[in-house]
Amino acid sequence: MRSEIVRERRRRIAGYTLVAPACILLLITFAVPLIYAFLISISDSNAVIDNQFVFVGLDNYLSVIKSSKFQSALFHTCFFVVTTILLELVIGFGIALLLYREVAGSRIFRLIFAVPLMVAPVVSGLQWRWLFADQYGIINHLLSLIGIKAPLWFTGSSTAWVTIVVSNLWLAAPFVILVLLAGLGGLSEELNEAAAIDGADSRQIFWKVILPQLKPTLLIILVIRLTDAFRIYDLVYILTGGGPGGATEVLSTYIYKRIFTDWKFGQGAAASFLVMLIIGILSLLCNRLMREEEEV
Amino acid sequence: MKKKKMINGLIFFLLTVSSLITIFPILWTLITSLKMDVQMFAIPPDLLPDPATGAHYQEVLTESNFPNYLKNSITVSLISCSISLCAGIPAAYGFAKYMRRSMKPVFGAVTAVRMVPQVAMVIPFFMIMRNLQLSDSITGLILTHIPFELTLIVWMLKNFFSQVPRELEEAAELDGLGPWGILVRVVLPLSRSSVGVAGLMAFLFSWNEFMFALSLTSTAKAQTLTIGIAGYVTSFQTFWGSMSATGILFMIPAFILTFIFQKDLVKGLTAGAVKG
Repeated sequence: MRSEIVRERRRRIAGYTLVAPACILLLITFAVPLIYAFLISISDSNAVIDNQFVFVGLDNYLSVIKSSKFQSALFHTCFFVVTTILLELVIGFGIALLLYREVAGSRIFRLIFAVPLMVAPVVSGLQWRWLFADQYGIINHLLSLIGIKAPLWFTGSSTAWVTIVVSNLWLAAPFVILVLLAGLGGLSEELNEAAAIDGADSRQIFWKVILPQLKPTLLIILVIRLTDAFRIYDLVYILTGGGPGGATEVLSTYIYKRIFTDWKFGQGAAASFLVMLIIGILSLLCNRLMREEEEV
Repeated sequence: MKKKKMINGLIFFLLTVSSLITIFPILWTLITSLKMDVQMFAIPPDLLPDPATGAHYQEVLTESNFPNYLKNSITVSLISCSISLCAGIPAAYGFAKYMRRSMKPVFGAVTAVRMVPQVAMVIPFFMIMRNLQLSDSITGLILTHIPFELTLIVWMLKNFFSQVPRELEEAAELDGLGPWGILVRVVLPLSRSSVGVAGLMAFLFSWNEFMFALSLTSTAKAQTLTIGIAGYVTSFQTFWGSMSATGILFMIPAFILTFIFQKDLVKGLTAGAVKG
């Protein structure tokens, strides 16, 4: 009995000592800065630069929410998130299904599709900037070969968006492909075969048998890609810098400009907390969906 | 049977086309890096470098700040990744096997860090580094990378460690090993590949990181490769040749690591999101 209590106590202490170093590190490098950021978000920007706090309540939050620049950045970001995730899922699903049918060279194809995963967004952005270049760009040349007069990609707002979405797709679709492929690999063959015996055609099998089984995988992809897409920065910075005329300004570039162009630290911090709030709500929703899935 | 062959042929064709599209941007960067400046601006663009030249690589390696940036990138990535692994591995094990009710909110907070956009941390990091006189220093940069890498590692490894069978640990406990001993002698040897992937992901976060480097460093003393390569795009001119050569050199380590870890990569990508 006594030894049981001693063991239990030792286990409890062990748990704390194992997680303590990480917690202390996170406290210093993350929690303290985050609290500091919150204090900045409720204080006057000019005072902050001089290392002082002059609290102004929710003024910064209100002026950010009211500013048309923030609203359009929020709108752009949502537009981007929805577009890119839809495209990623459609293309990712297509290629994952192709890879699922083992054909000659499957292994090499898989390796090739994994390559962009490791490329830095900055490098990807620069690559695509060169590919989309107006006169010297290979994309415009290829388009002209098939008789399409290519636009000046970076001067129009919708074509500038095309460059961002395409570059991001190149970076992120591989993630969707590989994760879906892993999900497909875990499916039960028997269900598919049973459905086939029952006379279901391949389209029915896909919608009624395969897709429902993949729901947990799809939700994981959604959570990870949603939070990632919401904070896009590097690509936009390199490709368009938010231009032309603010047409591709997203939340991260908006905040960065409030900080280092306007030196409005208070507003920048307030906007950051608003973005965190939005991401938090979205991932809570996804988690709720995931939990329901597990209970069924 | 014939129909099946046709379908397989079609799949092969589609896969070939899409993988060519996937690999093309990198291929084009490689081609660009080997072209002479004159040829680079040919209209229409030439498909192959003629003659191929290593001049851009030579210029990048000997006449630019590239060696400095490279040194900084390697230092920041390796040190932040090592610190994060040292603290993250025991933490992940603790959360996996010694979780108690009082630790649950802490674990929740750890995973919540993953949702915080980097831009939200720019202001406090900038102010803190300025006050601590760590602006434009490698130490400052390392400190900013740690929370992101550490939480990534804990998040990924917690699930791997949960799968280690209880019996193994109990046997080790009977042999007189404490929790740290079990972790080092029993659990770690079993999960080498998972730890490798977690380390790789953390390393890549640092290697590819741009925003903190952009906002917290200002000279070649502490700037990393991502800043170096973005610097080839100026408002007056873009140095495509040097940019492409740097880009290729920049991608090589990432490719090598990916090739080594390719089998375990997918596991690493989704781990943590799957409830263990």
